[in-house]
Amino acid sequence: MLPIFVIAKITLQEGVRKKAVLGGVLLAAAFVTLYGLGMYFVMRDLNVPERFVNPDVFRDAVSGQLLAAALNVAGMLTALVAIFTSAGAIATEVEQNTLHAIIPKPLMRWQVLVGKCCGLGAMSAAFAIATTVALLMLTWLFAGFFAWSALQSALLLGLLGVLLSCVTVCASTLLSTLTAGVTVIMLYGLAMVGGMVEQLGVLLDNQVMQNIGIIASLLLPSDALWRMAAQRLNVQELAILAGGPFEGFSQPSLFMLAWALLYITFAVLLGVRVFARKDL
Amino acid sequence: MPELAVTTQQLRKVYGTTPAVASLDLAVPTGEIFGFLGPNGAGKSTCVKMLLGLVFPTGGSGTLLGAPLGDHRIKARIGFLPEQFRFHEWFTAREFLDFHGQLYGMSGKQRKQRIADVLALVNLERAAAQQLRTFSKGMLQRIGIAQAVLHDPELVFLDEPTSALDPIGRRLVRDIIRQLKSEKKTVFLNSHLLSEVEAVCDRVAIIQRGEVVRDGTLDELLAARRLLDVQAQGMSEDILERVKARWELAAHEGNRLTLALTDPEDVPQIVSMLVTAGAAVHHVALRHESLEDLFVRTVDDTGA
Repeated sequence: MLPIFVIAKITLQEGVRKKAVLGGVLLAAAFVTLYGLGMYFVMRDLNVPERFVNPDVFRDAVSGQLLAAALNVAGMLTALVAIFTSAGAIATEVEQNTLHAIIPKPLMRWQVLVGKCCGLGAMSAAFAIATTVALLMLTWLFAGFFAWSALQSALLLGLLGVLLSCVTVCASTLLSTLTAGVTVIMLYGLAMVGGMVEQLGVLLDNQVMQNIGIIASLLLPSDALWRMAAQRLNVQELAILAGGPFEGFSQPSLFMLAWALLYITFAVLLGVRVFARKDL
Repeated sequence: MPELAVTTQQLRKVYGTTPAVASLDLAVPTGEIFGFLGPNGAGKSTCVKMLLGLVFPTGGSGTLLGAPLGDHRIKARIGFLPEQFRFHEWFTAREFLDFHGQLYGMSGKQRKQRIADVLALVNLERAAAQQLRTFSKGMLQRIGIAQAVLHDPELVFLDEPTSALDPIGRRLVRDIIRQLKSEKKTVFLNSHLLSEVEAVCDRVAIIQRGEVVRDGTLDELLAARRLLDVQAQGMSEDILERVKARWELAAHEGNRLTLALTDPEDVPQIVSMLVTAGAAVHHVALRHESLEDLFVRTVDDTGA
């Protein structure tokens, strides 16, 4: 088996056995369960106002609202899982000397780093996709609302997980575990606030605010990916507050998707470059 | 196979402005057990890390099994037990060895056979299904040795392999090292336990501030000087001064003194002089210098 796959497999196995990941999965399961219960009771007890000629439109609006809000939470959970599991990918192994037994083996350093990115990215993506698909299934089950395009939301959130995993692994080659985690969380928060500013900019027709948001998305396209995912839910026209108070007014272009893919590539290449020269 | 398994020429590592390894010249013949010694902070671990590609040299060059340092093709022929290692503790012993076997590029069949062999070698067969987090320090060190020799390497680096072991574990490691030698492997042994080094090594190098200050075969180094331990009552300052005027006083404490001799034929003369001067001689013993004596003398001479 190629060294990259050996490292990726072991990274995945390690993630599965770690209590932190288990905790994240349990919390996500609790969140999905709560969402399902909430959706069930809302749909059961919902009184459609008489002015709605077609009650399904009202029901779809309510369930879409709940789904979009839940997707927002799924995005944040994905971010936390991706960042916390990846922050120590290199830094902790350097601090604990675990790499001393691995680097002298017949494999290249870049294979170790790429293997870790693959393993952690796959784990974060699986977490995001599983959580999103669970939300979609529950919405379909209890509210009868489903759009095939919503599956793209799951994939986009999966990509968000891969992006944050790779960026955090890259940070982990440069910084200590704690500093790498905090740095990427702050970057993620910055992108999120930037996204809000951009939405407000669209609402107020303020170009400066819109540009601030675009710059924030260029710094880390995590919020752009989330907004693209929310858009694919196909509930925007139904749920004005779909993804929070500032979502839904402007949607990122496909350029941002390409930028996210390029960003992942740059992050991995930078990580490879730094790790290749690092004294262990 | 090259005659020299490890060579370095003016190998150097500087952190900022502080040299960790000043200029290291080493030559380790193939098939020998080589002891790499030095006081704390002498640069031993940094040197081993440079040889294994964990730390990048600031200058100089070197070879492993004839290939220049950093040549990845050579890695499959080298085994390494790190000093302050920590392995993934959630592995069972068998999973851990299987993982390292995969990194060595071994097939499933090879891994199955060799894992059984090395577990038996380090006496951990019964712990094969146990997670490493349940292992004692000694068991961890032994499983570390198992991963270092799993792929039947030609050159094995052991960094403090017996530091966490009890006497039985130490004997086991000594036997493993001797077995490696009998299989014509080269062992590069970095250890503070000089008695262990003396028991198994063919050749040693003592380094100080990142430079080799003494090296050679153990036989050569330890045969160069003989020590005479003397226990006598009534040894006055005057007698001591007369002794020091003719022979090197290696140690003196109370009524015991140790003299370093270049010629063992001097012993009767020394005893005669002590008795004539009025000292009551109770015990005289001539012995070879131990590695510990050599190490302490070398480090003292070079100003640790």
